Amino acid sequence: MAASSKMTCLDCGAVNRVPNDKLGAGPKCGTCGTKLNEGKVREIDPAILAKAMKNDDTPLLVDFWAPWCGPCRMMAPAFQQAAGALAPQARLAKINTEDFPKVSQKNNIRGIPALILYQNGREVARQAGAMPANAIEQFVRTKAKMPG
Amino acid sequence: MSDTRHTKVLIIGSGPAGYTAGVYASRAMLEPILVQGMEPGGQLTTTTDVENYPGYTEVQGPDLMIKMEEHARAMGTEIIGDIILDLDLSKRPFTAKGDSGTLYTADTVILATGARAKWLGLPSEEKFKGFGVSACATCDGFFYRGQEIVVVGGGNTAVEEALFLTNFASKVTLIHRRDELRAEKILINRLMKNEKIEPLWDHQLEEVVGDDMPLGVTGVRAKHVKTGEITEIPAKGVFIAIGHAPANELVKDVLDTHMGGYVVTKPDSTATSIPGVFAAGDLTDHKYRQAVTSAGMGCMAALEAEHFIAEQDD
Ligand SMILES: Cc1cc2nc3c(=O)[nH]c(=O)nc-3n(C[C@H](O)[C@H](O)[C@H](O)COP(=O)(O)OP(=O)(O)OC[C@H]3O[C@@H](n4cnc5c(N)ncnc54)[C@H](O)[C@@H]3O)c2cc1C
Ligand SMILES: [Zn+2]
Repeated sequence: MAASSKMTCLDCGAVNRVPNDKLGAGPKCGTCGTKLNEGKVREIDPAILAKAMKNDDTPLLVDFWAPWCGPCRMMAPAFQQAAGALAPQARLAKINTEDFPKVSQKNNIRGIPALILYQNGREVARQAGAMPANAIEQFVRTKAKMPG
Repeated sequence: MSDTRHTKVLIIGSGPAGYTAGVYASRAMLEPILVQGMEPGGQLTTTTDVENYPGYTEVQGPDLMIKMEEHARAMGTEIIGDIILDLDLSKRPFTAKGDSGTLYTADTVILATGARAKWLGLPSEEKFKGFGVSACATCDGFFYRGQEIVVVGGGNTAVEEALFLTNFASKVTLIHRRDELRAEKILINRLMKNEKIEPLWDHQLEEVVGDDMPLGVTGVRAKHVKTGEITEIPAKGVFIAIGHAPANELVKDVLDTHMGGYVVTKPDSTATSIPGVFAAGDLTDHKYRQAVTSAGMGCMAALEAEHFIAEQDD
């Protein structure tokens, strides 16, 4: 079985299948052409989150944050740095809980920043509170099954 | 992956003291390294309006700290997102072990690890941290719209948090182990007038109770300090506001401390009992605990480190 990974385009929501040996080759979404993993944190909405959560076997770490939350804002550079370090094997995204209050209820978010790691249709791990870049990276590497 | 980094000045902490030390040490051409810790920007990132930092009639705490970070970086401070796990001050150069695996060696160390919110130390509190138990009302209050909340404490912070949380909660129970508050009069008046707040005097938090699947608080058990009687209060959120304690873990066994753990410095100085090691900000200050005083001490520490290094070179 040629190993491949499913990942939802965080732009248009189309589900793509990418061979694991091509993960590092800058794969693009077959539907809209957006790069699937540029090593950058993507801001997503609940619809995209729901799709990625359900379909992706590529690890997806989501930062539930809000603009009024100081520690969330202070963690943003570290989160970005971790996104760079974890590409192309894992993806990092964030969702604004102020714009989408229902998403926090649905995911039982009671404090932020909250990081939830999804893979293979389920929540694999959760971290409450901010972490430096290196710790975010280790969190994903130890809790998720890294493709490839 | 472990590498070693040497610096003339290692600044531990990224609050007002640390960043100000960074500005001054950089301008003294000492090329300092500043390690941010688990709370980049420090305590002020957990508040909203700051109204007493000179130059700003009103500024958001996180914005002020982002500005300080930019200032330190612009002057030449190397700012690293790492946590110091272990510090060896027994010989020079001093060594500090980072969580990233990096080993920092330094001719001088400026300790600016500040203070952090105290916890009660209950296992149930630890279990539900981030799942209903919080020490940051401004961060997490929003998630309790229309719900019942408990605040624990009796000082200014507790009263301020209780008042702030009435913006969201349907009811706030303030649990305090005495029968009167240690807060400013004006705050107490506001609290007493607020119909959403119900004080529970002479009680202490016994246990946080909640569900496992999904993990989340459902209430608390509070115990009367005199009669031992237990009261159960339903709540989705429990905010602990029992004050702050100096973050002295790295040095409490090797440096003199007093007044509940604050690092002792020489009079009119940031020098500690170990030559070449300086301490600034809330870590040493049991009295003022303000951003501006912390910044002032950060300045002193950098200038004293500069002086110390110059003397060693002679
Ligand atoms: C809710 C709230 C509101 C406040 N409002 C005001 C106000 O309006 N005006 C005012 O003047 N003051 C206010 N204060 C007080 C003010 O925030 C503090 O006096 C000030 O932040 C202390 O600065 P500091 O530099 O000593 O350390 P802190 O701000 O406490 O920062 C400590 C730093 O040390 C780092 N650190 C800790 N351990 C380690 C480690 N092992 N390795 C690396 N780094 C580490 C942390 O990550 C953090 O960056 C408020 C405090 C709170 C909590
Ligand atoms: Zn697409």
